[in-house]
Amino acid sequence: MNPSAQQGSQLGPLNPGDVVSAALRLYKDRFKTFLQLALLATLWIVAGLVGLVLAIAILAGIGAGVGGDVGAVIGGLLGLLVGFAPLLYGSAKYYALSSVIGRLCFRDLINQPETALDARRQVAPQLGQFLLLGFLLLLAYMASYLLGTLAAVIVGGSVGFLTGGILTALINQTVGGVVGVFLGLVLGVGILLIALIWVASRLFIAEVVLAIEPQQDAGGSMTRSWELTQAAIMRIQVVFLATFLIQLPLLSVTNYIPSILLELLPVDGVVYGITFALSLVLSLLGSMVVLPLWQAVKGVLYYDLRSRREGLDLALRHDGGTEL
Amino acid sequence: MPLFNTIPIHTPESVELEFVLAGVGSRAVALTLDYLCLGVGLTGLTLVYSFLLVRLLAMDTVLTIPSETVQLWLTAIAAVLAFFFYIGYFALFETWWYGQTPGKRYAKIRVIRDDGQPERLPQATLRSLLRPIDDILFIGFFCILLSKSEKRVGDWLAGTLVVQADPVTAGEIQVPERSQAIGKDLLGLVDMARLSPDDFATVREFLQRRQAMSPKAKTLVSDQLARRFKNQLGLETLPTEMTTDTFLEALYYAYQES
Repeated sequence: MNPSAQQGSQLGPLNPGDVVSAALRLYKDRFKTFLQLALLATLWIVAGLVGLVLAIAILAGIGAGVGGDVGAVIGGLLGLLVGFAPLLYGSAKYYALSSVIGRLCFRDLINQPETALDARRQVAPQLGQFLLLGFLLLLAYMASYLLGTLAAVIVGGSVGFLTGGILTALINQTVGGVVGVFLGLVLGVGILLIALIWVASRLFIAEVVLAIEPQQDAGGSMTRSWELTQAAIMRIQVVFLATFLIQLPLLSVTNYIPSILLELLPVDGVVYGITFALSLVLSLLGSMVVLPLWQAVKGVLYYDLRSRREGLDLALRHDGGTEL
Repeated sequence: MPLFNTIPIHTPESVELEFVLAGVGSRAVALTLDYLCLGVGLTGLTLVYSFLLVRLLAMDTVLTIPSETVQLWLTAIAAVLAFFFYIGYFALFETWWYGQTPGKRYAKIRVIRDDGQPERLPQATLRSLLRPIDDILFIGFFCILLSKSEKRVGDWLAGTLVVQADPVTAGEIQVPERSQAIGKDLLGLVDMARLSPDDFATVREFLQRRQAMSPKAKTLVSDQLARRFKNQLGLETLPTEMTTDTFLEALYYAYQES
């Protein structure tokens, strides 16, 4: 697929900037394939959402027919429960299909390119694991959010309180209060942010691990991602920032500016409704186009970390070994 | 590196050099880091400005100048300083560091002139002055993405290119004495010419990078490489008992000596 790639040559560990450039290049080279996958993935998640809404609407309608207002509420709640099934299925599909892009990029880099169909076939049996992985990641983020908040409150609170108290005694209450609150807030928010960023970076490539490594399950993918990213937190931040900057020109047109404009419009009326629907579609399109970029970055990052931490490129260099 | 664009340059001495272009990713990395540095600097400047302003306005009664004039002057000076700080950051760093800023140094890229010469003050200043224009509506980004030589407007006008800096070779490999002795033995036992320069490069890279590898993977790769080269050299038995790492160190030493 990559015409200039030579057999047997291996890139090896990459600079953060080169990770992003390589990802962009791979996306450019297989633009149609990747966009198709992203479109399918997006359609699946939209389908899941539509399923949820339909289930609620239908069951609430039936409930209303049977038991009036109370029936409608009960029906709606039932619909929420039933509708969860399509939503979960849709998101698992979304997750699996987008990870296929990461897998394709990795296979390109190790000079064993695959077609999208092959890759999808390989990933398809793992659908349940993708759902589980999504759930586990959600749990991990929630846990780190809770723990981070706790640490932030304790550390930020005590430091702020102490500083405030000391300054109040030394200067006066106003200065002590302002400085104490300010310091406590900055420290607390800082701790929470660092905790979240740290966990998110460590789990950044979990889904491509699941898509790439054979016989891997959800828990194992998280462990692998954790282990591979061990010494790479800063590098991942830089990669993240650079990718963010590159997607900015597109997303500012499709996502950010429309949402700002939406804020400025009065909330009632047809105009608002139409604008809202339009901006929703636009932002969905924008996210769809940048999805392959992020997945490609994850695929390249996986290759980079495997080379750095495990000498994958050295092992593949001569015998082009098949084991991954 | 096939994933990255290259550009041939004909020097005035009619030597053809090939440079690997920096790539959008590395330039984004450099820009992000430089703007972070600039942001910190400008925040410091703003703090000094507001501190001075408050102080000077408090001295209103002492000074004979009306406070509005003081405010205007101070604001003007701060604005000029901020402008020079913004322009100077890029222009001076690129001049002093031969085409690199802190961000570019981290991203391992540098600016050169179209003829391959290092960038000097005029080019650096021009690039720096045109930077705001490139930033408006991401003009520079699209120029880099769409042009074959990855030039933004500033690069076109200054006649510069942004290329990957020469990779600094990772530190010297220390071969322990025991491995050196085994290496000498190996020289007598086998014909080192059976190893290609590529093989040697593989051994060298492994020895350079093994510190960063996880212990398990290191053992695995070391084992795999040692086995492969042992077969390739036709070594039936090893001269002495040794670890695979020692064997590779000995190979590295022997190949250099041969």
